[in-house]
Order: sequence, then C-alpha cells, then structure tokens
Amino acid sequence: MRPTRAWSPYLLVAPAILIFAFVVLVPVVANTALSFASWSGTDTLRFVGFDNFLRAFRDDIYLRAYGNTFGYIALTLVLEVLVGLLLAGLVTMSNRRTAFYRVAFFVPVTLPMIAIAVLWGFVYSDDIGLINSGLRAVGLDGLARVWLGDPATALIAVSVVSGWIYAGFYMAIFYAALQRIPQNLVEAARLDGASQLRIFFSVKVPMIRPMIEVAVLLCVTGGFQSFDLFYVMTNGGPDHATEIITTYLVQVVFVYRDLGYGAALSTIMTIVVVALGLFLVKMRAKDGSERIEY
Amino acid sequence: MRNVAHVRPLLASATALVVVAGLAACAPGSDDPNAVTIRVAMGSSGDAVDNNFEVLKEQYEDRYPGRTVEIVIQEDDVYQTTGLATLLSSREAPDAYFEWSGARMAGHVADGDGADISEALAGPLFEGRFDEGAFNNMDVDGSGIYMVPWTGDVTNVVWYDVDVFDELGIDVPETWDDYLAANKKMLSAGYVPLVEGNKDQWPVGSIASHIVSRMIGEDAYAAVINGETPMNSPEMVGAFEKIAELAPYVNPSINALADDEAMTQFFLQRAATHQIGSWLMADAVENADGLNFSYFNLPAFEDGKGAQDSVLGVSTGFMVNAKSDHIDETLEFLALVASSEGTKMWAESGLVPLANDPFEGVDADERTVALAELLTNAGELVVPADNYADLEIAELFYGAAASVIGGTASPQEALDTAQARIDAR
Repeated sequence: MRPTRAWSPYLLVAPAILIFAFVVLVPVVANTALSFASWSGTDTLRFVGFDNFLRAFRDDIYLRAYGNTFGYIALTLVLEVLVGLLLAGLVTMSNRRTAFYRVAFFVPVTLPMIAIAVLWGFVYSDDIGLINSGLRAVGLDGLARVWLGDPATALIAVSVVSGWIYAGFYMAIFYAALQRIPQNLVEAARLDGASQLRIFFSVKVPMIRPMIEVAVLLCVTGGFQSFDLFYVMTNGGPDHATEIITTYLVQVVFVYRDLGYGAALSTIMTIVVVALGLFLVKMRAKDGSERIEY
Repeated sequence: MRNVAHVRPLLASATALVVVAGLAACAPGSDDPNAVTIRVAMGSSGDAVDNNFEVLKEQYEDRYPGRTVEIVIQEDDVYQTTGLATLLSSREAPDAYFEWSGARMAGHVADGDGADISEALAGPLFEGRFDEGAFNNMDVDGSGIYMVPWTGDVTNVVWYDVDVFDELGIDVPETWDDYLAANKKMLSAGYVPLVEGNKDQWPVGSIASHIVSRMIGEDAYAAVINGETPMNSPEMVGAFEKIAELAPYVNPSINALADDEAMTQFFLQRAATHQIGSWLMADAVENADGLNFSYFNLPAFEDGKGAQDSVLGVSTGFMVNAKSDHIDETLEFLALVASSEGTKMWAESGLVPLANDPFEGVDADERTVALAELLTNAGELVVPADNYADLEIAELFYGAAASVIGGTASPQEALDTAQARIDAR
C-alpha cells in the first residue's frame, strides 16, 4: 500500500528519530567532540587533539580497569548465566510446584542495589561477617579472610554478589524459554531412556540456544555498565583490584574534574562495547543459530 | 458538525491550560513578591550538627517572613566526590555550600561558582565575629575572601582508649619509637592496636600526609604533592617506611572498611586507638557513650626534617555561589551560622568553630577545647594532600599509602608505581 503523501512515512518516524537524536546521537557526538579537548567543566575549553586518547593507552589504571571488567564479565557469565540456566533447569525438571523457588531466586533482582551492597558488605565483614563466622565455626579459620580488602579475592567477592542478584533474572528468561519446548520432544527422549540430566543438556539446552546467546550478549554488555555495586562495596579498591571502567570514569570526571579525558575514556569504551556487541551478533548469525525454531 | 468536532479538543485543551495556569497562580508563595528560597548544601557532620542547621533554618524563616531555606545534606563521601559537583551543575544549584579552604575552594572560584564576599565579611553582618587568622587559605592570590569561616578541623590525631592505656601502663607516646612500642604492647595484650577505615583512601592518606611532612619537611612535602619533585625519591621512601612500620598494628580489613565503620569499631572498643580528625568528637557525642577516650598528636620523629609539633588540619567554611540570585539573603543566613548563638551550637556539638570566642558560655567538652588550642598553637599547620590543587597526584599519593599500609607493596614499589602514573599523564 502506497502512502497518499510521499512525506507521510517520514512524518510518522520523525518523533522517534528526534528522541533518538536528542537522547543518543547528540550526546555521543558531543562526547566525542569533548574527547579532543581539555576542560574542567567550567574553565575555557582547549583543543588538545589526540592527547587524551594517547594518554588513555599509557594509563595503567584504565588498562587495568579493562582487565577487571573482562574478568568480571567472565565470572558473571558463569555466576549469572550458567547458574541461571542451571536454576531454570532445576525448577523445570521437577514435577512439583516450583513457584516459591522461582520467586525466591528472582527476589534479589527487585531489591535496591545499594541495599544489597550494604547487606553483602556485612556478609563479607572480616570479624562479624557470615562467611568468616561460618568458616571459623567449622574450624576452617585458615580460610577466613578480608574478602573485600584482599586484592586476590575482592573482584571475585563482588562478582558473587552480582551473580546472587542476576542469576534469578536469567533463570526467569531461561524458564520462559524452557516452558516453550514441546513436551513431545522431551517425552520422546525419555522413552529413549535419557536421564533428566541428559534431556536437559542434550535436548533442552540446544533448543533454547538463541535465548542463551541473547543472555550472553546482555551479560557482556551489562558488564560494561556495572557501577553501583563496585562503587559502594569497594570503590575500586583495594589497589585498583576492583577498578572497572565506570568507577574510574567517575574518578576522572568528578574527582579530577578532567572532563575531556573522561570523555575520551568513555569514547574508547563505547567503541569497545559496540565492537564486542557486533562481534557477538555476527558470531550468532554466522553460526546459523538464529534459524533454530521450535 | 465536522468543524465542531475539530474545535472541541481545542476548547478542552484551552480550558485545561487555563485551569493549570490558575492552579499555578494559586500555589503558595507564588504571589508573594518577597518570597525567596535559598539552598544550602553540605555533607553530613553527624546528627547533632545536622539538626542544628534545622534550628537555624527555623530561626531564619521566623526572622525573615517569606523566605525559605532548603538544607541539602548529603552523605559526606558522596558530597566530597560527586555530590557537590552535581549540585553545582544542576538547575537548582545551591546558593551556599560547604567546602574546605584551599585548593578545592580555589577550584570553585576558578569555575565561577564562588563569590568574593570580602566586603560583606567586613560589614555589619559579620562584625566582630572573626579574627584575621580565621580567613587563612580562604583567599585566592589576594583577590578576595571566598568563604564564611565555619570550623577548623584537625585532620589527624591519634584517639585512644584511656582505660586500655591505663590497664597496660602505656603513657602517651612522645616519639614515633614510643608509639610503635605502645602498639606492640597492645597487640601482645590481644587488642587491635589501631583501627582505620581506608576504603576511600583519604584516612590513611591523611596520616601519610602528616608523616611525610614531618619526615621530609613541609616545603618538600608540598613540592611532591604539587608535582614539582618526584614521589619516589629516597626521602619519600624513607617517610613511607614509617607507614610500613604501622602495618602490623592495623586491622586487616583496613582497605575494605569505610571511615565511619572504623570509627564505630573504636567507639565499640574493638580497637584501642583510631587515627582520624577532630570531627570524631561530633560523632562521639551520640555514639561513644561510656567510652573513656582522649587523643594525642602524631608523635615526633627523631630523624624528621619537618616541624615535629606540626598539626595536620584544614579550615572549612561556606562559599556563596556567585551565580546565586540571592547573595544578600544567603549571607544573612550565613551570618546566623556565624553568630554567637550559632557558634555556641557548633561548639556544643563537638565542632571547633572558627568564630571568635567559640567556647564562651559553652559547656564544651574539654577535648574539643584542647583540639581548638592544638590548632591555634600549631608550630606548623600542614594540609592533607587532597587540599592541594592537583587532586590526581593526591589520589596517587593516597593510593601508594594504601598499598603500603595494606601490605600489598613495599614503599619503594608503591612510590615507583605512583611516579610512573604521574609521568604517564
């Protein structure tokens, strides 16, 4: 069907494009432009060319923040996506009612992040914390440590909290996908003598693979957006062991008030995230996994 | 009919607009030409102090009908880092805001957020309230005064549990070696000798500032923090060795604990000493009931090149936003803050006011009075590193101190890393 006026379609999409331009395009362009300047926010803006970008590649804290962010993403892929998948498997495997467990696993997603961070700060406390108290109670004093104060354990400790929160979220996604699998396929596998475990890994998981790929994409890109948990629990410490890109950006912009450098750092991060996202999407398309239907 | 159908929504919209406009006109205060709202922002200094601002707000609103004061209090760490910067760049920027004198204040002046209030401070509003010394660090290269002085903070003293010291027969240490010996004695007796909460790095950073200035001298310390001399010089390494000497005596959670959590641990007698500033008194009013505590200044280093009776401290005050439409009204509120009645309230809350006769007629805690005297009688007043202009160097300095006290790097390694980061900028 052809529109009565040639410009009608443009008029219809104009509001969406305008909003997108103001919310996304203009800030991206402004931020990129600012990357080439030195500016404290109120002083005179000075053009510095590529200095900010060159500085970023010499900045070992920034580079370390990438290492930590990728480490965090790797850990959360296991603690969020894999655990979420296993939880979804468990709640769909049982013939009993599982509503209570589904709600219980999902509840952390609904809690305020700051409250969770404070709560887990107590759990990790070296003297009165649940973990160390438990370890000491069973005679494993040697394993008790300052979980958030030890550079060797701090990132893992924060990632565990992240896993505790979001495993339920991914469980909900996978649960919905698993519910859509035709029962006759599961029954057929069962008749062939497959165990519950075999059915889950050999039948169900392959069938929800597109959903798993989406979850991985969400987890990876979400990892770059993490901030509040790290800010409250460790503030990037100790020794930058939990410094991720966003906490360092806040430091550069709000503490050092170096907006130009901060803009360059966020521009680089945007490029990395977009590149990574495109890579993952391309991998999916190449794999042909999008064509799987059930 | 077709035309009428088009007109109806227009009429409805017009009516709605008229109603909304009418309601807006009826909003309280909007028809009062004298209605003024001033916003005053600060980080929390404890409940007692925060409540006093509410008392002053009521007094001000009673004295000046039609005026309203909004007190914006944020969590201290948030205010220092992102809070104030966000407020100042918001549409409803504060008319007056708390700040530390020195580099942070100068930064606001450079940004156009600080008004020169020298004239008002010399006028009748603040007459007789301050001595000249109260304005130290509150001018910018002699261009004017940009703060109404509020309190003086001694940033680093050693608070100790008097009962523990008595029990173990420890005298207040006068030298660093005595201090280490005292810590060793406490540790042997099963006490945590020193509790610190260094999650945000400035608490140990302050201790490091004081140690370094005492060890290498105030001018040399300033040169390092200003980036004029290297951070990893042998003298600096020597000074950081002193920080390393403290490491065995601090709580293992030092770099995971927040400063207020560490203070609470001291109040709960889970540690025998705690190094922090004079603001501990304000919290102690409500939270240290039953704790018999006192303080001493950082002990002297026999091999130190700086003034061994120096005090690490800063003055604080309220800046007036140069972009405010209500500068006069804001100054009238700040005059209440600096009034004898206001000063009395601050002193009773455990603060050290910078106004004249801060403890006159006040049943002030003798420790608070002594802290004020310590500040005024200091052989040398040294400011913490984050009061200098280059906050990035200060943060790197604090980071190095955190690594050393946390035992994750030797003084040489920590300072080499800090210098490499400075060089990479």
